[in-house]
Amino acid sequence: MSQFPNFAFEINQNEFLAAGVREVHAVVTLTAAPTAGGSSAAVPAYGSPAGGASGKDNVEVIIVDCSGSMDYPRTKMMAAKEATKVAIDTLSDGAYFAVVAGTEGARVVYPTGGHLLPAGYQTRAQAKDAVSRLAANGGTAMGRWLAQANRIFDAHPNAIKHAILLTDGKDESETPADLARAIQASIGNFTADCRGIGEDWEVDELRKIAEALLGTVGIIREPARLAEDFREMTANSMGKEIADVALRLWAPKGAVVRYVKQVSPTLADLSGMRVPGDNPLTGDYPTGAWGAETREYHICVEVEPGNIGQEKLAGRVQLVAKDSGGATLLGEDKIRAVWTEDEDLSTRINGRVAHYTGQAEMARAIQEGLDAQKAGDLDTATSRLGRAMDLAVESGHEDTVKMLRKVTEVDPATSKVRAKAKVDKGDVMELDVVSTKTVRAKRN
Amino acid sequence: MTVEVAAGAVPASGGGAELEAERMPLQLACPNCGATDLVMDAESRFCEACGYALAEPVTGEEEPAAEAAGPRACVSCGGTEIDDEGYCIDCGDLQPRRRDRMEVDLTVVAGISDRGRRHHRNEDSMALRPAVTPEGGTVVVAVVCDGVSTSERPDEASAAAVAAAARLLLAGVQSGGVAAAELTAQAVRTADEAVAALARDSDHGNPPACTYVSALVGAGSGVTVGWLGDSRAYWLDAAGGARQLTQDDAEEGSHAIEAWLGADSGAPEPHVASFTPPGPGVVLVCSDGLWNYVEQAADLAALALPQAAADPMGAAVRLVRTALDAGGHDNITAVLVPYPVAAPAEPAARGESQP
Repeated sequence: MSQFPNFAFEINQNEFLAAGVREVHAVVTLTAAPTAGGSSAAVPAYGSPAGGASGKDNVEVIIVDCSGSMDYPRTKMMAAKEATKVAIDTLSDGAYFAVVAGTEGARVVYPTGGHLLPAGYQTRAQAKDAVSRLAANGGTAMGRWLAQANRIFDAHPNAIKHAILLTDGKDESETPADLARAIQASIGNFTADCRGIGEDWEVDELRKIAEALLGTVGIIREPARLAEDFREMTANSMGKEIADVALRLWAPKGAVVRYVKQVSPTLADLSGMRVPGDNPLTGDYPTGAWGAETREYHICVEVEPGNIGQEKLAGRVQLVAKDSGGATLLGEDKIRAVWTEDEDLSTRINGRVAHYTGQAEMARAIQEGLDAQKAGDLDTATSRLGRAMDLAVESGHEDTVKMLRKVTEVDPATSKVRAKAKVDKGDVMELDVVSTKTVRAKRN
Repeated sequence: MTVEVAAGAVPASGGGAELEAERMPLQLACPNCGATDLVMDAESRFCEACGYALAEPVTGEEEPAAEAAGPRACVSCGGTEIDDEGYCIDCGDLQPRRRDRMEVDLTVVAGISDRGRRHHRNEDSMALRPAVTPEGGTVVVAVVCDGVSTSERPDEASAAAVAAAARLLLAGVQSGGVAAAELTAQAVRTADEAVAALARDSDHGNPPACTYVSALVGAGSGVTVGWLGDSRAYWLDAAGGARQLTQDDAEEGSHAIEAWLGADSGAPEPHVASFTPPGPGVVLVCSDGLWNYVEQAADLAALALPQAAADPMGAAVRLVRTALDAGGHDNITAVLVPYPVAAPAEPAARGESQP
């Protein structure tokens, strides 16, 4: 058994409920401390068997869109090649890696021998050489790209598995159902960060992939910035210490788990990813790989209300590391419900729960506002984007405030924010992308 | 043991006069060997010189000697598995806990602490026990604390307070040589420190807090009470002399207390008063869960007497049941000490918890 990072486990909630209240909310804050020896991913692992029991093998798959449009303008393909080479140089020595050229198919351009090779002087040079020869020619079928990645990762069941997916267009060479199936097959197997370059791709499409695969979405408006982004994503992936961590939630008989959402650093609804546990009251929600980082989750459980004075365990939350050897408990805490007639207690608002409820509402308001703006319904757009602006200002979310300003203007008559009739497409996409990034709650 | 203590010219029966105290070291001597370096803290409660075990207060929270520890069924759903923390692993309901109803009957003193009908846990605590002075007299120690429900972990606050105070009071009585008023003031401070020590960074500015009331009832030395907050002591008799011995730290009719124990207490000066009973009766030490329903001393006396003189447990049952029947909106604690104090049947320092 490998040593796992130490996790700080904290639950914030107001457990006191007025008579008859069924919904119990809690925010779980998890912080993984760096393990001793920190970024020991740099230790060479030449010749060690793939997927060794250490759980510290990294496998990186870089998927580069090679559809025909990547050459229009040519700077996109050039930036993609450059960024992929930077990513290869950023890999830890010994990390296994592959480069996939994505079109209507998915061709592994490196390595060509059928099994992965650890990053070293020679393999990096060979891979970069293969990247140099990439050519833009073909369609876009991201579902097949994911399926190819899945096949590559299958040979490394216990490794820390991460993909970078870059595209410049819509998923037009397959059906949405094809993509959905491929996403479903990848959940829990690997994590993926997705980047869109240019303005001809769909934010929603990439977000679906990234949310399901517990990664981020980013928009690259200037090709020159792509390399730095690839370097960061790769370094972040190499810094992961533990491969497969899940939130295990027990809820009492008769309860309904309304949702389990990651709320920091980004919003991602994990509710649909529940894997039933040994016990019918228990289920696992995958959280992917962890390095030294903090993440927060908002859990809402609906329970049968108890009598005044009754206390009920509304949830038991555990963090478990899973590998072929089973599950290791990394931490746990309780979500409690106590029914009281003391209004001083039941009306207390937990700062953290309120903060993330607000951040989720902000994301929803932005997405609804942008949809309305696109459809020409400026009244709805004004109301939703105005609400988003209030929430962004209130929570100190400066990035979002800045981007909301680009799609709104101040009405001189009312001095209130209103949706612009004409907006730049890139500005809209950028705001859409940033809408699911949250700011951390202050200590309460 | 050497501790900082309030020492002052305290009249033996001050008739309610509060202490104007200054701090001086309090010397306690081992009642067995006379050693003065008595070690008495949470971990060790023995005289280091002779190994003499000091009396431990009885709180009603003690583990039963031998209770059938078979599987219990969930009181809500009938499920048969209860986890270590007392939650049913099926429906999640917390099972009744020991502190929900604590009963202690030591004959010369008896007390009940009850969760009530509306609160989710019992945040009151009590500690009681007779102790024997070096001269052979009996002094009954009774302490009641009520956790401030808006603070964090008020149940832990009251439990820590009664244990710390009662331990000091029992040791002081056994050791002798310290005036009851001095000892009482020191017990309040010791309890304040014990509650303050529970504070954590994660308390969000609401560290554990509780009220305090204690009584030392001696065969010859009368009654000495100490308090902070709105927990009370009463003198009850059948001769028309019943009266409240404490004065709440709260505006009349308000439950917003102005003094308490805990990290944010500001180390308030304890109130200490002494009282010489005019004849036979009973000392009642209680939390507001009782006096909210029956506040007048004469009404309490009518409920408790004459039963309390011979059967303080029976009288405590009656008082607590009255509060429960009236709604039981708060935790209810009542400790009764019949006066004159009887010599305990068992060695006082070895009193056992009664189920």
